[in-house]
Amino acid sequence: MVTTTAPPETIPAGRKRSPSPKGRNDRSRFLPWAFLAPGLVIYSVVVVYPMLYSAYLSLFRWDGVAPKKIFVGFQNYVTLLTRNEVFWVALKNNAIWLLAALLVPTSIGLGLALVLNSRFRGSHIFRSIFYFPAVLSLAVVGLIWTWIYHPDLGLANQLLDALGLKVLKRNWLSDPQIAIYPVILAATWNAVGLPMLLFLAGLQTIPPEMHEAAKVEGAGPIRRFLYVTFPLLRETTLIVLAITSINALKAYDIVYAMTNGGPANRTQLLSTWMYFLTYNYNEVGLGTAIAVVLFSLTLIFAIPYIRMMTRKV
Amino acid sequence: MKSPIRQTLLTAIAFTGLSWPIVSASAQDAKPPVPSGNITVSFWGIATQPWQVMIDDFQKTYPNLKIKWTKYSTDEIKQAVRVASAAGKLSDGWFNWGGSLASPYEDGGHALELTPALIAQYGVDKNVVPAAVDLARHNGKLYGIPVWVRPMTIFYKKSLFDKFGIPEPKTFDDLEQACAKLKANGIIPFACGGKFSWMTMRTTDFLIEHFAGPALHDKLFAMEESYNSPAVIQAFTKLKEWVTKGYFNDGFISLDPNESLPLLFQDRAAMTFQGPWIEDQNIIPAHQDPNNYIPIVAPADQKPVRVSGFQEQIQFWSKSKPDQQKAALLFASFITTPEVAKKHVSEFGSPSAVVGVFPSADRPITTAMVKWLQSGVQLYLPTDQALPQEVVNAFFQAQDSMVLGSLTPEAACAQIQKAVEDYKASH
Repeated sequence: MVTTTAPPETIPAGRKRSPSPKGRNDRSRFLPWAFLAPGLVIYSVVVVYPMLYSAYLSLFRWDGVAPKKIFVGFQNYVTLLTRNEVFWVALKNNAIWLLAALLVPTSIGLGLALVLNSRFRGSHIFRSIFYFPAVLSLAVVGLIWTWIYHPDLGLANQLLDALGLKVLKRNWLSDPQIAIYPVILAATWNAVGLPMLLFLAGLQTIPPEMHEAAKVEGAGPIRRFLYVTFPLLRETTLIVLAITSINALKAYDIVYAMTNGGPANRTQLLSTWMYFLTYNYNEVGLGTAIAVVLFSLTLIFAIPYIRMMTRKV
Repeated sequence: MKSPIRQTLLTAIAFTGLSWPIVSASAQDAKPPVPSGNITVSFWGIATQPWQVMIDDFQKTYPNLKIKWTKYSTDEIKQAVRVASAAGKLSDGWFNWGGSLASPYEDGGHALELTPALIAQYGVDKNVVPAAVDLARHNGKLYGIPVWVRPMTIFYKKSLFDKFGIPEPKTFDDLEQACAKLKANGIIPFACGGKFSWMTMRTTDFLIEHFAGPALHDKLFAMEESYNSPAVIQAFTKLKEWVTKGYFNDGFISLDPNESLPLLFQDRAAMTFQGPWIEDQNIIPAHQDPNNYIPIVAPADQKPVRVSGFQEQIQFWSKSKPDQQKAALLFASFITTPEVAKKHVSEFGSPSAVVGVFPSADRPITTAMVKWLQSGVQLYLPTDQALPQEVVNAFFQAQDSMVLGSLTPEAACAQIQKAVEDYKASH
């Protein structure tokens, strides 16, 4: 067995010893963490800690103010699932909202993107017009649509009156059977802009040659969409669906602005019901238990989205 | 929750300030201490309330003291105070209502208790009318300095009543006849915005006062009597009857209170259940003649004569630094000094909780309300301040569900009573 011993490196006077390869490796290994540290600290303090603390609070009965919290274990979850009727109303509304959000604004967004992707005079203006509702805050959107739906003074009923469709007039936001749908419509008006923009960006990455080739092969516009455009938009579509789902589960302000969760809590979402229980009705334990449920539901959509995004990087 | 309700049974003669109890010599001599050095006091108040006029005057009088006013909406301030108290970082002073909206901070030790010594030192006993002080007390103790007293009642539009030859309702029957006549003439009797449930609650409270009477009503608030009582079921049944007869505007249950007022301004509705603040916040800004909107004592046909009402106060953080706490107390004491309150009454709003301060002549609505308060009308807390908030949730849900037809009056009352029992079992 031959062993070799490297002669000690001679360092000229006045020069510092350069780090060994091991030292360099250590440093480069920790460097990214050093850069990430400030962000991680802030994230931990303002996101991770409150999340964990919320989960902790969900195990107590507490009014949010009293110095003492009473430990009740998972009782708040049991109460939610077995005795809190509004929780189930809110969960159902969230499911309807999610389904509508996945189907309606995404389809309209895709349709608008396809139209606006073709170059025609004024296409930029139309892009801005269709994107405009997306820049409004949901509270403002809620205010606008609340007046549109006003039973006596609102545009919706007056328009139906003018068109001779009195039979279709409704108390849009006060009929407990339908109240959630007008709110979803208002949210849709606001939600179309983002998918449209993402699809437009996706469409512009498709090489024109692909369409040219399909055209030469005799494919019509529908076949070209089904076999060229749509498959090549797969990644964009997945991102749009993930973002839309997460936004749908996060929906809060528009319901708060338009109906305050009413009438009789029929338009509550998990997010709004969480707020009302926590801040209005002194049920911090129940409210934070909803927060945990909502967080778990959001993860179902967030995890695939995060994996997809990190895989790309 | 028991004692404050009874304490709301107040003789309004106290509002005059004429019957003011003799103030002890020590209280009269006591002067609020003025902290030295430059001090900034954090104060949380509602954005639509005119605090700035008082802050400016205070800072002019005490140049070393600054009030930093953080503005919130009505619901935001409730949230902000709750979160801050849980985090142990309240402002030095904050605006609050009373009853169950304030009691968690009082019971939790967050709000400073105004001891008899502090009450005397900051002039609360000589400056603020006893009625307002009594409304603010919780379990016999005071935790804030009342600034305003807000009675709530029925307003009618005089021009519409005159047009249809309807006399001012003096009794419950008169009121029902007025509703029937208005409805027959195509006018909505009541403009209501029930989106937050509390505007509908004002009518419910009035009906409970009418059918149950003051004694039972107070026992309900104290959770000593059952909401399954026949009188309460009668009140809920009457509310449902009024809804069915179309005595409220279409879809009122989801309308914002501010969205319902245009119906009154446009002569489509003739009455509303409101407080004196609509004079400054709605009627005058809409260029309506305030003399055309007449507040009447809601005719419950009961003795003593009462309407619902509440006080609004400034509370102080018990853990503020001593100088900040003194300055916050001084600010509240300053704005409740009769001279200051009188000077700013037209901008700061009425009815003031300060002795001898009356609305200006160009505020006929508030003037009328102060007058009938002075003539013996008493106040009871509205349900959303009288009951614990956990029960208020059930009350709102039951009331609105009944209005929408998904609960019978009996079932609605049973649901409220169940919430009362749950609350009592867990507290």
